[in-house]
Amino acid sequence: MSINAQAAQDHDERQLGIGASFVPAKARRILTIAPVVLVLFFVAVQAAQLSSTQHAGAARRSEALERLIAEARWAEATEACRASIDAHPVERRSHLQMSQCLLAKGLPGMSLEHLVMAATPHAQGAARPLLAAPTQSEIDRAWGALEKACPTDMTRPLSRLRAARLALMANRQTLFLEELRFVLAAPCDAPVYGPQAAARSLLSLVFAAGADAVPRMDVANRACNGLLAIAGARQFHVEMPGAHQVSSSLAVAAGGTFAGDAYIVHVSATERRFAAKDWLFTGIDPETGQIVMQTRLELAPLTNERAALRAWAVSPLEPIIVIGMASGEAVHHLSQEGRAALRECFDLRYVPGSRSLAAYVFVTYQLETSIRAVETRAAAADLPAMMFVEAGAK
Amino acid sequence: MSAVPDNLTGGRAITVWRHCERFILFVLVFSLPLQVLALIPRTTVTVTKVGGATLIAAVFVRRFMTKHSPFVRTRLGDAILLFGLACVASCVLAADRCASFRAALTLLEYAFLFYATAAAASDDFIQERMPALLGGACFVAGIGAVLAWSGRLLPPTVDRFIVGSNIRRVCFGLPDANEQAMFFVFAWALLLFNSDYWRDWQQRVFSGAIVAGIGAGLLLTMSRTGWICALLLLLARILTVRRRLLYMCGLVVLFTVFGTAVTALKPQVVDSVRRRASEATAMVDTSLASRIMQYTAVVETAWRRRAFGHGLGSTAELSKQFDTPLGETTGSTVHNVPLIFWLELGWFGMLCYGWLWSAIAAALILGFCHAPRGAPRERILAYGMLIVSFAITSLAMPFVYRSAFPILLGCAMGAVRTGLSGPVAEKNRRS
Repeated sequence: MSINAQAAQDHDERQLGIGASFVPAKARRILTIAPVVLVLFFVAVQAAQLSSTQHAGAARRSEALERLIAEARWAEATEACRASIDAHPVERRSHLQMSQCLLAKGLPGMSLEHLVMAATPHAQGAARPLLAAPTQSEIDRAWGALEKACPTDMTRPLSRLRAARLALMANRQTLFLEELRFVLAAPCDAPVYGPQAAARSLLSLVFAAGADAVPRMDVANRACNGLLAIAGARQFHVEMPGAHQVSSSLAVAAGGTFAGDAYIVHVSATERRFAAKDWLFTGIDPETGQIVMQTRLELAPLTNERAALRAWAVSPLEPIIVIGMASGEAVHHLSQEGRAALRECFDLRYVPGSRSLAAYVFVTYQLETSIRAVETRAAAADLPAMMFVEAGAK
Repeated sequence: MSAVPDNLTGGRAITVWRHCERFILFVLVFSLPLQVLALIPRTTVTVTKVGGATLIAAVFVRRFMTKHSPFVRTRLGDAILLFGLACVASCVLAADRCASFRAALTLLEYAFLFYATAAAASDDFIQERMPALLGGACFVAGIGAVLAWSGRLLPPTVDRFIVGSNIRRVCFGLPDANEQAMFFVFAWALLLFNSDYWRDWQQRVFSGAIVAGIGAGLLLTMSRTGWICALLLLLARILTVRRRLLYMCGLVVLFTVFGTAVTALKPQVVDSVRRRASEATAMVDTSLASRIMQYTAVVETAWRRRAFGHGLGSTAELSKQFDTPLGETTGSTVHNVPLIFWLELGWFGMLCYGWLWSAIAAALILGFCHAPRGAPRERILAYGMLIVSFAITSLAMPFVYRSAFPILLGCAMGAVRTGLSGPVAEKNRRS
C-alpha cells in the first residue's frame, strides 16, 4: 500500500468513525491519563527510594556508632566517627558523637570544639543533612559532662569563649553575657587590630552570628580585640615599595558552615561579605581598594582547575593584592593537585590538612622583584581564619 | 456498517491493539524527560526502554496482522537506508570493529524505533495530545528540579558544580543537565507553536504556567545552549503572532516581575545565571574555547580517513588523542554531532547525513505546505521548530546515541502523515 493510499484510508476511517484510527470518547480519557499516572508512579517510587537509601544508610551507620559509644569501645567509635566526618564533614550528629569519644579519651579541648560544631545550626538554603541535628538537651547534657569531667580545662579563655557561643546559639542571653564577662575578666594584652568596624565584623564570625549581632552585644573595643586574640586572629606587617602603598589596613576572614558561613574582606573602610563556598580568590587594586578580579574554584579531586588558577595568578593586571579565602569544607575537599597548584602559584606553605577542617586565608603582595604571601589558618574547625595586614612604606 | 468497505472495518482486535499502541507511545513520550527516575522497581531497566521495545513489537505485529509491510512508509526511507549503508561501510573498515558493531546495533534499534513511532503517531488523537504530554513531563522535571535545588523535598538526578566556575546546576529526571535542557527546549517548541493550547484565557494561563515551570527547570540546568535556543524560540513565536508588540511588552513585564521576585527570594539563582551567562567571555571559562580549539584536531583526524571514516563509535577512543589545550576536561568529547559523524563515517557518511537532514526538512516543508490550515499545519511547524532546536543543539553538544531523537522524529513524521491524510484523500476521491 502506498503512503498516499495509507493516508487516504486513515482519513476515511476517521470520517466514518470506525476502524483503528477512531478512538471512542470513553477510551480517550483513559488512554490519556493512564500513561501519565503510570510513569508518575514509577518516578515517585524511584524518588522515594533514592531519598531514603541515602538517609537510611547514614542512619544505620549512626546507630552502629551509638552502640559502640554505649559499649564504651572508644577506639573503634573514634575511628568510625572520623570516617563519618570525613565522608560528611557537616553532619552535626557525627560531631556530637566525636565530642563524646574525645572526652572519653581525655581530650576536653577537642571535645568542646566538636560540641560547638554539633550545636551550630545549619545555614539557610544549605543541603539537607542526612541525620537529625542534636537537640538542645543533648548539647546541654554533653556540656554538663564536659564541665563535670574537666572543670579546670573549662575555665580557660578559649573554652569560656566557646561556652559563650554555645549560650548564644541556645539563645540564653544572660548566660552568654556572663560567660563573656568571665572571658574578659582574664588579663589580656591583645594588640589593637585594624579598624574597630572590621574587628567587630570578624567577631561575628567567631560567634557564628549575623553581621549585625556584635553591635548589639555591647562589647567594648578593647574587649573585642581580646576576644579576637583568643579566637586566633593574626596580625601582619608588610613592607611595600614606595610606589604601591596601601593607605588603610586590610582585614580578611574566612569562616565555613561552623563559623558564620561567610568570607569577609575589609579594605579602605569598605566591607565585603561573600558566601562561604569553595576557594574564593579576589584581586584588589592597592591604590583604590577596589576589587578588580574575582573567581571561585573548587580545587577538588576530579577537577582540572590548575590552568585557570595559573592564568589567574599571572594576571596582566599586576600589581594587585591577591586574597584567597577557603572555608574548612573547601580545604577538606582540596585535591593534591590543587594543593600543588597553590604552592606553585602563590608560594603558600601553611595550607591546612584536609582532615583538620580548618578555614584558611592568605594575602599576597607584589614587591619589587617578588611576591610576598602572608597566610593563616583557623585555630580550630569551629573558628574562622582571621588576619589583619598593615602594609607600610619601606 | 454494511456500507462500509471491508478494508476499513479493521476488526475489534485491531482496534484494541491500536489502543495499546497509543498507550505505549504515550508512556514512552511521557517518560522521556524523566528516564533516570522512571525505572521498573527493583531493576535498572527504564520504562522508556521497555516502552520502546514493546512499541516496536506491537507496531510490527499489527502491520503483519493487517497484511501491510512491517515498515510504515515515510518520506525518509531512502535517506535512512543510505545512511545505514554509510554506517555499514565505516564498520567494515573500522579499527575497533567491536565498538563499531555495538554503535551500529544502537542505530539500528533507533531506526526501528523511528519506524514504529511514525506508524503509531499517525493519528489525530495522538498528535493533539503529544505537546501536552511532553510539556507535562518537562513541567514535572522542571518543578522537580526547583524542589531538588531548594534541597528539601526531592532527590536530584544531577546536583553538582560546574568545574572552574562553581555554579550549581541541578536537574530532575536525566543524568546530564545539557540533555535535560534539550528536552525543555523541545517541550517549549511544541507548546509555543501549537495554537490549540493558547485559544482562550484559561488555556493561556494554564499553558503559561506549564511553560514557566519548564523555564524554571531550564534555568537551573545552567545550559547556555538551552537558554539561547529557548530565547530564539520565544522570539520566533512572538514574531509570528499578529499583536507582537503587545506580546513583547507583556513578556518584558512578566520577565521583570519574575526576575524581581526571584532576586528578592533567591538572589543566588540570579547571581548564578548572570555569572554563567557572562563567563563565556571571561578568562576562567575555557570550555567554549577548548571545544573550538579541539575542532581543528577533529578535522585533521577526520581528513586522514577520507571516504569511510574511522568507524562508527570510534569518537570516544579517538578523543583521547586530542589535546586539551586549555586544560578543560569537558572538551575531551567532541561536542559537535556533524563533526562526530564526519570523524566516524568520513565524507560518504557526511554526505548521507546531509541528505538525511535535507530529507527531514523536505518532508516537513511538504507537510506544512499541503496540510490543511489550522491545527495540522501548526503541529508540523512546531515539530519543525523542535528539529531546528535539535540541529542548533547538535552543533554544541555530543548527543548522538540518544533515543529521544528517533522517537520525536517519528512523531514529527506521524504529524506530517496525519496532516497530509485529509488532502490526499480528497485528491484520491476527485481523481
